[in-house]
Amino acid sequence: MVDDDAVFGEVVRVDGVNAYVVRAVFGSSRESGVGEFVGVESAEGVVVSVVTGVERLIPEDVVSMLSFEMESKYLPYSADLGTSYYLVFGLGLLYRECVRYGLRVAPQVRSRVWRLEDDVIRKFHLSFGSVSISYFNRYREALGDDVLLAIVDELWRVLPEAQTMLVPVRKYLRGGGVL
Amino acid sequence: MNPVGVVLTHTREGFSFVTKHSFASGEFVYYRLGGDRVLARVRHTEPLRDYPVEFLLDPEVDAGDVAVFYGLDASDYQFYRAHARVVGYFDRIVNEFINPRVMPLSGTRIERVDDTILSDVNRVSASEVGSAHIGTILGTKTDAVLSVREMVSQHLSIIAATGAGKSYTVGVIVEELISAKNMASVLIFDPHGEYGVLSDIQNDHSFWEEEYRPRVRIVKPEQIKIRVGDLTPGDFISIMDEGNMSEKMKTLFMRAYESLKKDEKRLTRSFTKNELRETIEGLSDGTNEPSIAGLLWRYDRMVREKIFDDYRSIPLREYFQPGLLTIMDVSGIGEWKQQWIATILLRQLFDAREGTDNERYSEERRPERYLPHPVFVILEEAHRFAPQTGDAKSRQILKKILSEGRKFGIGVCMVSQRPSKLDADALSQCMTQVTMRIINPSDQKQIGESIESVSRDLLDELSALARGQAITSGVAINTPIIVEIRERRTTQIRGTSKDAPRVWREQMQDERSETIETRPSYELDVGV
Repeated sequence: MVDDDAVFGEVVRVDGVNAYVVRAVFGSSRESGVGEFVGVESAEGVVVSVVTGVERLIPEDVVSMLSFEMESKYLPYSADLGTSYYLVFGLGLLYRECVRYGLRVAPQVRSRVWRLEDDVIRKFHLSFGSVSISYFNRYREALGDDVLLAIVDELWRVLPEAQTMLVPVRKYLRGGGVL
Repeated sequence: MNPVGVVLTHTREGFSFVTKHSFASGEFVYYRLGGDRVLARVRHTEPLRDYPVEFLLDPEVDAGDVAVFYGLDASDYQFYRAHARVVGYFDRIVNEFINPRVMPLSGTRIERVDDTILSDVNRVSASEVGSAHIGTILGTKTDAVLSVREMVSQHLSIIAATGAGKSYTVGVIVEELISAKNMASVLIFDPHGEYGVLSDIQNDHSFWEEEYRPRVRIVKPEQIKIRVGDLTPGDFISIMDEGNMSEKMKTLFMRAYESLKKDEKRLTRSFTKNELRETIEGLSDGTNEPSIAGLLWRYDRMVREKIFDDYRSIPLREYFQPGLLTIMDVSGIGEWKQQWIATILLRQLFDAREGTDNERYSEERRPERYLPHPVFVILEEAHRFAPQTGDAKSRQILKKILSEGRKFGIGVCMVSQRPSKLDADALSQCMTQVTMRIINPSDQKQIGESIESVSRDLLDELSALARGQAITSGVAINTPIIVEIRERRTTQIRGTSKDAPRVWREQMQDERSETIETRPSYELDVGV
């Protein structure tokens, strides 16, 4: 299913149906940037997700100052200070050649996470007969304009046929995106 | 039930509703209030939502496609916010629209009007006696019908910029007036000689009904005469005086006129030009020769005009008869003479109708002044006869008829393309208004000040009206409406614009065919 070489991390925390923390595999060959598409293993299929942030250092002395409840929350970060932790946001599901934008079930902790191939990203955006980034509107508030702009940059490369429509979207997001 | 929208909110002025339908300004909708259906007029519409401006910057990219691509629902951008003003529900007891003074709440359904509701805007139905079917209500197939009774008795104004369809509309109204359901007595004062085509009416079978055959009489310029005996001394002086007539001359003329009038009382006919001249000459007493000579010079200059006649005048009884359209073609006659003709016509008309109503005139006593039926006079270029500024002899009598004519059955239709040049009082006396496209701001302002029955938002439409569309308002209809003027039954009036390029080309081709073509000598092979 997924080439072990492509796997770059695993889910170590699930903050909701869409938001996960992924611990990168030690010694991963390449850093992941904001806006990059990753797949998250789930029982239903592949959760197509996007990297929204990265965390690298959680001082241990801070952990000791946290309450018991909060400590458990931050524990994963304190385990290995050399590890990158990526914030990942689930956009939709790719399953049996079908695409569904939006999620109802979150992936499990320990689910594998890997970088998506360009053809998979295209498939995710072309599944409705025409190119679509309709999750932009749906998750705009949760993702923020900077992340969306990073996704636009990613799509500019992967979906050249969508560039004419990405131009106004990019301008719109840069302008504050007032509807 | 045919809902076309839902009320969003309301203000003191009106309410707004959300709709997918692209209503034109002036169209009607209604909502239900208890058992009543409350009519409202759409004032204007605006989009409920706009696409982000960034989606609109590249005309090559469809904004709707970008919206869908981005995850917006393009159908959300297909809605309008329509602003409407309440007209009211129609109360059949008082026969008018009653404003309920209660605005519809948010969520109230707005429905499209049907023929049964819209027909309430008309005071009369299209087929009944006393109706003038002038067209259809904008955006519908419902007839727009004026009450002829109100229109004729309380005067009518037809105001439009050049090319907006003014003469055409006059033609439509005349067709209605002269049809069998009205059999009106109508006279058109026609300064451009453009209404002659209405003579088609008398040969058009569609106007015939049982025994009724409408008649059309065209009075040519050379047939129009003013009898000198019908002029007042003030008229004479006004015509003779070009600013250099001395007081002495005026006094002498008054004496001559009064003296002749006293004599005339013993006569059964009015005086002639020569009789008045001889009376002026008779005032010479050895001390006033220069003044008499100056007066006679001016008098002779005046009466040399062919329009002034000893015996012939405006034969009212020939011009005004039920079922008769008289077209007074005054084209080619100078403007001041047109004003005099109008003045004498209106003065005599007022006298005749007033005298007939007050039983001073009858078939036995002054039958030429006996006019036992209402009349309707259409004054084209009305601003010439009742100007806002400057002098016009006809203004006084015209204003008198506009203010008092109702009592005596004289209706006036003032037609003008320059309302700002038309006397504001005169215009405001026209209680039915057909107002077509007007672009000039000063004209629009004058209309706004003179026509009280039309709301500001409807007047805002004046410059946007298409050719053949008219805001119709006043006493002849229950509420102001925008009308698509119906097609004429008779030939198009000559007032239409000339197709200059076509005429030029035809003229050029005619001239070419009549010219022997020559070629320059260097092109000729003379064979030497």
